[in-house]
Amino acid sequence: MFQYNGEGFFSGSREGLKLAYFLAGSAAAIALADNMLLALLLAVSFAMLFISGYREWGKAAIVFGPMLIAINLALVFFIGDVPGFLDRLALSNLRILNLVLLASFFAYTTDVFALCKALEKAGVPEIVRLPVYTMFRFLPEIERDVGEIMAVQRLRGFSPKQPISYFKAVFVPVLYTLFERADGVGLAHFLRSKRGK
Amino acid sequence: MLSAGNVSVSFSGKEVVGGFSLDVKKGGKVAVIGPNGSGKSTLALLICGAIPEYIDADVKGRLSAGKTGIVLQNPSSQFLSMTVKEELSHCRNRGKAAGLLGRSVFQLSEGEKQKVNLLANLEDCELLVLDEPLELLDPKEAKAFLDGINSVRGKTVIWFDKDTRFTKGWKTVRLKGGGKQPYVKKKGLCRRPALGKIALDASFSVERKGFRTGKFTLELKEGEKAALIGPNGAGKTTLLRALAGIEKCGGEISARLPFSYAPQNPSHLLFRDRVREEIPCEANIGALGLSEIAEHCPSKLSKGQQKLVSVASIAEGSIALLDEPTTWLDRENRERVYSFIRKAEQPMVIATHDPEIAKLCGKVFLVENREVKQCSSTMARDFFQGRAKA
Repeated sequence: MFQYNGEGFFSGSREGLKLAYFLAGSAAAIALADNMLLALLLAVSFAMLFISGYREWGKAAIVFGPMLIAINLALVFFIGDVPGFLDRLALSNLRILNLVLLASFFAYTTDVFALCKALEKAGVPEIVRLPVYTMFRFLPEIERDVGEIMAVQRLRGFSPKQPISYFKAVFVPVLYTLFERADGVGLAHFLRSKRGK
Repeated sequence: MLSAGNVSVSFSGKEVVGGFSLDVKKGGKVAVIGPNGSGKSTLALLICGAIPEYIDADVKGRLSAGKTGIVLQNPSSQFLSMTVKEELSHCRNRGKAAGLLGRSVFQLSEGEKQKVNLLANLEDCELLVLDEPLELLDPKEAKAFLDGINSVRGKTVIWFDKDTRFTKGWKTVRLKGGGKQPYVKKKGLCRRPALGKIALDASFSVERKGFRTGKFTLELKEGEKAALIGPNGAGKTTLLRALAGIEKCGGEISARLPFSYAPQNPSHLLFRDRVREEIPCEANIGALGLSEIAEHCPSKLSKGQQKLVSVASIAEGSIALLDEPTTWLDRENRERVYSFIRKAEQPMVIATHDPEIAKLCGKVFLVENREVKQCSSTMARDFFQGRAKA
């Protein structure tokens, strides 16, 4: 998802404009209360993401699909009997989808190096920049780990068709690997500070 | 430069290192050798001050060390910056990595990362601690790193490893422990399995953004083993993953048996409460010497023990795909894996940097420079001695 080599369309250029588009789009998605306008914004967001070269729709559906279903179920549970419920449900979904697409566009097209430099230039203190930087440094490795864990467990016969056993088979190694990584990063930071660099 | 007298380290009351003593003068080079679980990494972290300051432990005894730099096993975890230039920004002798300065961490091989780690840690340190630094490196990169270490002058170097293959001629201190039964080689019992029907017929290549492997053609009979050798980043793991169906590839793969895959990092595989539950074939427990830890929780085992469990977890009657099955293992455990592979009746494709495993395989393929070619024993020997052409 994140760009480290600026190969995609829109990548590595005009970070400020993209940030402005992301912020303005997010503000509009939250402020607008008209389903038609939100649908229009959604179409624009989708087109922008498509033009930028993003094609992993299946992966995105796996990540965001369950989240959307859970939110909808919660809405049905809490406001299912309120008049105009369907309109409200459509509004919530359009807002969430807009935010997801805008964030995806920003993440997919933004060159991480440029973003980190921009943060430094903007005078963001190091205590804020360092975790952001470390997160981006290790995101691709974590993404690769998660992909491999899912594939390995599918080979061992765990499939999403049996969600509970599949979830356990994937979640435990992911958690363990994340702790391992976090441990390594913490230790590396400690050793560096010990060296005084 | 380093003076340790009767040092012991315990975690939650369990002693990991006991009665360790070592005195090294300035400029001395010492190899500390010990099997899996003997406390090598603990000692390395103790010397550089991470224990007990960062990792809580009960430390007894006397220890004094000069200003220390450390190079850890996994180069990726120590490399915090995203570019080499940033990583070496404080380093006066960064000119030694001139060819790498403009590159990002995601473009570096493991050996190049380790070289940068070495340069970053050499700066201003009096004592350099190396914790199995060549574990994940291919032979050529290992040789280059070794040359770098041998050219270090005026610094004390302590190298923690499982054996002395990289530290010949150094003063050697041996650690006891590991707490396992020694492996006894049973002569005459190992036999090569008879070759049966064709189990795998594949001809494919992998191409994705910025990366391409050569065409890999492989015909494997039941009981036959093939090794994939080559430098880090050449695509050995990618080919294994493509065989397993994890990676998209162009070409044909027809397999008569299902695949089972043991990844390089065993943590990606293990999730159950007991080792026994992870292993589908009971015979593998005995074959790999796991009987004593069969009831233990896999996440609490050492990396070497987890590696053995991951190798043991391959299913019977499948085509086994093993990614670096001897990484993190000491000599005894490596012998167990060799014996396991030698006796296995199932076909195997193994990505490895271990010359012994290549010798066990009927077919050896060299993956290098976007080419996959079946190689002779001379080519394989040249590769393992670090003489293969770049």
